[in-house]
Amino acid sequence: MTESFLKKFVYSVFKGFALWRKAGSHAAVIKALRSRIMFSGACCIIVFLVILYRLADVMIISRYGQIPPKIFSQEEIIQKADIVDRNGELLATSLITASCYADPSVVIDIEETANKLSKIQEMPSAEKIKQKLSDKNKHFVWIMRHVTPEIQEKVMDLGLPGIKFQKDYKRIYIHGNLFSHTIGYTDIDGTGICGLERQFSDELKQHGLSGKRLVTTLDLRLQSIVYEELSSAIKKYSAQGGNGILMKSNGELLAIVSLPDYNPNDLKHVNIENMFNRNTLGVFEQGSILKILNVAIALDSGYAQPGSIFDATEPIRIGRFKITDFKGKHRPLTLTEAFVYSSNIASAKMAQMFGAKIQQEYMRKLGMLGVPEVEIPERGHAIVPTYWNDTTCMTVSYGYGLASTPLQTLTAVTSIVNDGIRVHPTLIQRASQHNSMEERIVSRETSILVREMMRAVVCYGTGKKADIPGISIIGKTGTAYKLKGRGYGSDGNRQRITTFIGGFPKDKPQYMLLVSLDDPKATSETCGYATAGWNIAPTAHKIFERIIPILNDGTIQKESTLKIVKYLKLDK
Amino acid sequence: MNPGIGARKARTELNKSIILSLLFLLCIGLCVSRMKYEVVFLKNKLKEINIQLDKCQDDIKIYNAEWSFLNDPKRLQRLASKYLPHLRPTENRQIINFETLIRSDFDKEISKNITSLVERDVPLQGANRYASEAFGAFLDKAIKKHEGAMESD
Repeated sequence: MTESFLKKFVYSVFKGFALWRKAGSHAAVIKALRSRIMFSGACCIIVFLVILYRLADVMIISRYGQIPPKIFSQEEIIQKADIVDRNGELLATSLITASCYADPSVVIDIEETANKLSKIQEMPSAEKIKQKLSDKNKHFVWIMRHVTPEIQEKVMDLGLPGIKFQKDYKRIYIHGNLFSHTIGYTDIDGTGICGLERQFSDELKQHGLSGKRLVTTLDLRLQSIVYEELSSAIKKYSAQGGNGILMKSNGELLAIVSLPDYNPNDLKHVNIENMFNRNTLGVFEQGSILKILNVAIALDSGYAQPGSIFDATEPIRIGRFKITDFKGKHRPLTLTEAFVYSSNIASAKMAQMFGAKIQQEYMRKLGMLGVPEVEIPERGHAIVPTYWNDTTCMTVSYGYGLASTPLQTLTAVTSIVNDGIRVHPTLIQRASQHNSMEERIVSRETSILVREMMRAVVCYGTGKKADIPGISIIGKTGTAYKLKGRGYGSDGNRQRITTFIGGFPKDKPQYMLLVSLDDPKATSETCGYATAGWNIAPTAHKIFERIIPILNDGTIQKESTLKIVKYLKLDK
Repeated sequence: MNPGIGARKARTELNKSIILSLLFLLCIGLCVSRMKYEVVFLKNKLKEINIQLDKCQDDIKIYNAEWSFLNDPKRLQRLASKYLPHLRPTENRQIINFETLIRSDFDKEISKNITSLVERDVPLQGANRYASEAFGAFLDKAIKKHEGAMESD
């Protein structure tokens, strides 16, 4: 049946074609066909012209028409990569929000729109909105960035023509003030303004959508401990501020705190002075902690031995200046004693032995004369004496005349105690550190002796209050007077910066800490003293007490013997 | 052969081929249009999935941020001091190293043997010597075992 149907179909089609061919031989039919073809062609041309006109209208004449232009494509919305600590804890992230914008050319009643919008909490005032909507030629104006879902719902409920929302991302700093100086912050468009946010702004934007994260060397737990203890010390000793750095012996920065600080989530209420990063930007005379470098130079250059004698009986007079000791022993001291009892006189005499040139060379190698090496843009350059003469050499030996950042000082001391190998501080976890290019600054023997002396400071010297039973803590305290104009103020009017620098364990320091207080006041608990041994050493003790159980995986060596004690004449 | 018949046959063949071509074109047209609609459908589906994926990623980010916020050390400390008042932070003396751990295990083992020696009236000096030698052997064994494990790594 199908076959016969197909046959009939093919036959009728062929028959039709035959008839058409037959008719085609007549001139009249050809004429009629031509006119019909002409008519069809004309119709087609008209239709095409209409389409062409419409295309030109949409694309050229009324280009923006009723369609509001998008200022960002989906890819252009800034979504920056997360910043995490060494354990993967989130420190900074970008969260999705909505931003309210308007197309003034579509807004019907500006007055009504402005009044209705301004009634919603946190929205700009009616005047401001009116001003924004006044230019009818504009097609895009922001009304409010990063609105909350509640506000978004309220605005949408109003159903105002020309008021719309755009997907946006807001940078959130989960732990508020805790990492403010290190992580930094961004502007409203996500561009880094300071800290790691600025240093790695392009990389963070580049990897925003790929899910990659910027892994820092910081540790949330340790940062929190240093922050808490420093905050309570500032409160306790009524200090103006303080700073603390905890570093691994390979240069990884575990915690870096500068107080006072600010909340990067609430930049409207920030005091500009609180944005100052004391650790990397603050350039101070470091006081007696620089004696660590002085002793290391004396030992390494071969000018002195741990038992070398320096007469600290009388102060040194240079013109109208006098170098004295705080609570001096007024007797000849061994190099070890000079270090443990923090004798300025002996330190100056030590520096006189090796001279300014050697001192300058060692300071340069230790990175004390430049800017601190760290991946944030806020770095201060050391204030180096213009003429490094013998007097400068003597004052630098006990921490005056050369001003550097706390990070530079910690790096230099860590390099000395790290078997004399230069340490490069870093905030970013990298697959390979600088180990391939080891740079020796002092010999291993010098490093061992300096560590022994630093242990003696904690056992018998000004750092006693920083000691932790069971762990051989090394350290050195320093109290430096703050420079006020051209002098250091009179006796009752002097302001101090007290610093403790130390680490553990003595035989192979794995962790180094520097903590400072700016202008701490004497209390009844400190027996009227405002020196480092009385305020910052106990603060360091509290920090050590809390961080050691976290850092000690059982490999941190317990107490070890102190061989250098034979050079000490201990006070009873 | 009549030339008229040949021309007609050729024309018939031509017509046939035209019709077949038209039918073929029709089929291709149908297939292409079907494919086009299929592609449009899949494209829309992909767009929907991508939007959903973006939303999920944004949600995950919010959850991660919330989790980090909840794990803020200050908050945890406040909660711990409120709900776990009897717990104290770990102290340094509570942490011991590997060597000390071997020693304490050894102590347990050796104390049993010494007790048995004392019970059997063996002089205490001998027991001490035994303890010292035994500890040395025990430590050597532990170190060798440790080194062996490191080599196999």
